[in-house]
Amino acid sequence: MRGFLHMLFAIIAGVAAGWISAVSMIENYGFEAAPGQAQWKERRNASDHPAAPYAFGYFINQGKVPPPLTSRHFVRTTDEDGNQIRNNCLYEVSGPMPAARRWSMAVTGSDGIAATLGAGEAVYEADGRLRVFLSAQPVPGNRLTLPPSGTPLISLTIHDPQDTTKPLTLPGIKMVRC
Amino acid sequence: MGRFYWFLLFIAAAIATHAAYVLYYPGYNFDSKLEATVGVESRNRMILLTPAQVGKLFPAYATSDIVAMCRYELSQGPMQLSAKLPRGYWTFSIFTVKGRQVYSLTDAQAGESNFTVDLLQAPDLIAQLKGALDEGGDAEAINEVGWKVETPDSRGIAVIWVPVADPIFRSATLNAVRNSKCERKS
Repeated sequence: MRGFLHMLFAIIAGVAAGWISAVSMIENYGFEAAPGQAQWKERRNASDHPAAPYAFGYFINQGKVPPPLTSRHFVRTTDEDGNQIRNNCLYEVSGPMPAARRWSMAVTGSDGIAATLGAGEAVYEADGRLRVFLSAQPVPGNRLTLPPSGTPLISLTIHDPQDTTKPLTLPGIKMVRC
Repeated sequence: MGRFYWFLLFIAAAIATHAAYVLYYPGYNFDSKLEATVGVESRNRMILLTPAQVGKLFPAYATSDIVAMCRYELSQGPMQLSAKLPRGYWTFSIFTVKGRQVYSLTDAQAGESNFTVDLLQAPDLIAQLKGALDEGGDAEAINEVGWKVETPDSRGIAVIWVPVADPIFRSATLNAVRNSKCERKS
């Protein structure tokens, strides 16, 4: 009887450990800080990357299709100072976009529904730079609506970047006011 | 010795659960979530997604982009996917139900704006061994290589993505993508 209880405990503890480690690794493994821009984390989902099954799992577990292999997908939840992006503040995303065939930016809230902006819809500054405001309230210019609840997740996808050997220069996110 | 045995059992149970969760659960979950978003009728046909569906399913695309998707099921036989797209940037991707991308094509790689791709399930290990032992098996397989994609899973999705550069061309692009096909190969 005692041996049976030991076996049962070992199996239950093993199943719990396996489940917790799988959920945790799907959530966290495979994110790498972008070179020189540590606030942006890149999700590596190339099929030959060791984190690939976890990266696929991260997206499909949420019912989302992973970004295509011809693109590079970056996410962040913090501004340039490392503070978490808050729903009731105004932020400015600005800086040069890497040379690529296309880019798209999104803000996702706790409900999983994203507000998006594509390269074709954005209005650029006279010098070719991009400014996008993140705000729950209407503001002039390019805007991505911050969700009413949950920590906003900002994502930036660069489709077919021109130079795949060099690190990509990504825009920064500054808080304007709260 | 007894404690070592229980520890081994713990490790085996942990590895089996970890592998099963990572390899199978997300795929099962994904298919049911996809069906909930795009409907039961989306199997084996190309459907044009609404901006709300794009925002929910594709973290890499903008909701203003044009996206068509086919949830393929290969257990009844190969499928054929075809499209004639307008000039400009587009991508065509095939994913398994586990989220692995098995095929990618862009306008630059295709060199033209129309394509036809045959999609079939890769033979399992026994069928591969049998094929290799059969006379001429390899030669026949090589002759058929071309716009043909073999996927390890019988289920998955094929996606056409066309980002619209100028709203003026949106309606023409929508019509072109709407005419893309995903049908059982006769």
